[in-house]
Amino acid sequence: MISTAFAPLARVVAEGIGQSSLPIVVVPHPVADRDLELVRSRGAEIAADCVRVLTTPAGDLEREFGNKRYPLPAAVMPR
Amino acid sequence: MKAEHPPLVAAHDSFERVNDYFYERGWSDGLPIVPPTEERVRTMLAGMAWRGAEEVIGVIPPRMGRATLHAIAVNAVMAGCRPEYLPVLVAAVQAVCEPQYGLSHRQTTTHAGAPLIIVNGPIAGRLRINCGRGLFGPGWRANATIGRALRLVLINIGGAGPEVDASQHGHPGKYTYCIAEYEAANPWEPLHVERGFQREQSVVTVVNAEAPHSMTENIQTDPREIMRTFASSMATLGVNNLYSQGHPVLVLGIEHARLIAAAGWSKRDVQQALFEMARQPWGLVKDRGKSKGPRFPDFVDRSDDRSMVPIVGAPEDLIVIVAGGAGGKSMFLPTAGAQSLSVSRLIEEQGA
Repeated sequence: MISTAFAPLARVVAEGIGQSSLPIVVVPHPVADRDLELVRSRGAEIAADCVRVLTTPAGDLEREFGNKRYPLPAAVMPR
Repeated sequence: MKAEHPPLVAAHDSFERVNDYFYERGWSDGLPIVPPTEERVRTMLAGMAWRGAEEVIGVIPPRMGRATLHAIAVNAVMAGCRPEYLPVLVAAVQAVCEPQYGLSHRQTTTHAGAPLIIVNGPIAGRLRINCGRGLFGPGWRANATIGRALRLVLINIGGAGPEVDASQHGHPGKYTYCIAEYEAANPWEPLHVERGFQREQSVVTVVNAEAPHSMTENIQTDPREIMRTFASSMATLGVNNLYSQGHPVLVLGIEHARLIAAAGWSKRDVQQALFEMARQPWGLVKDRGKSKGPRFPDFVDRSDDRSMVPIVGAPEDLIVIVAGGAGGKSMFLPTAGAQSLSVSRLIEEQGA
């Protein structure tokens, strides 16, 4: 699980440890918020997806996540 | 992000074409690079001829790229290094790969830290690594290119280019950050001797540091009063070391060092004084800044708002070196905190 701002980075880390089809569940950034209700609602939004990836056969996950790319945050300037 | 590393280029490829090609693929810090031709890389490898070119020096996260001596040499060429700089670069790569440095999170953190390379021992003079006036600034090839080469290794082998490096604001030291200690102006033992090496050995110390912050004290000459000025600059709210300590760096100016030593103080006295004085009360620190990590000092009584919080967990955790030119200034370099600690590593020299 990772927030949108760091999803492309999570993908690189996963590839680096040889887990190129690692399922990555993305939550809107930021999650380190002091508003506990907001944090809880963010968790609730992705709970079903977390359960889904934990209970989906590996082959299906590989097809879904093997080549998945995540958009860079808006603050990353294009070269 | 591209998974491949920078290749060797043909000698007849134009400088402009190579630079455009490398830049488009992210094999760059943005400045022009020296094209890594086979001949240039072979010449660079001669700087550590006693090592095999395919020997793996380290594994660089987050891509977990294998930093062979050859791959490091390619980046050293690109940065503009001379072959005799290669042992320093290799030692720096080894040092950042030590677990206590925490390279995986330093490569991807939002914090504005960069690996500062501090060189001690005879090699610093031989390579003319600046330790005097303007040591953090431009003008010295060894400082400029050794630090740059480490950055290129981290980008090109580790994959920490701008799409991956999450540093919120970056840091000018991410282009290059390499200095030496001015041992001849140090009235005490230099950093590497303090850390158990012999004076005649050459050593790199890497520490993931923020930009240097200048601390002026042109008036006070009593060591205790100089320390009071430093302590006020160092223990400021928002500085990570106040929340999770670690190994911040004090670069003592040569005049400050001379004054302090003349009063009979040792380097340990400096560390002890700043350990005691560079503090803020728990009541001010507890609900601000950042979370207080598992290595937060036990001696801080969290039930007492008046309990004082230091910027280091122990006096010796404050890295103190002597460097710079004439004048009444010293520099403070905060770090991320205790999750990334400094590492010292012996520099291999010919036949060692």
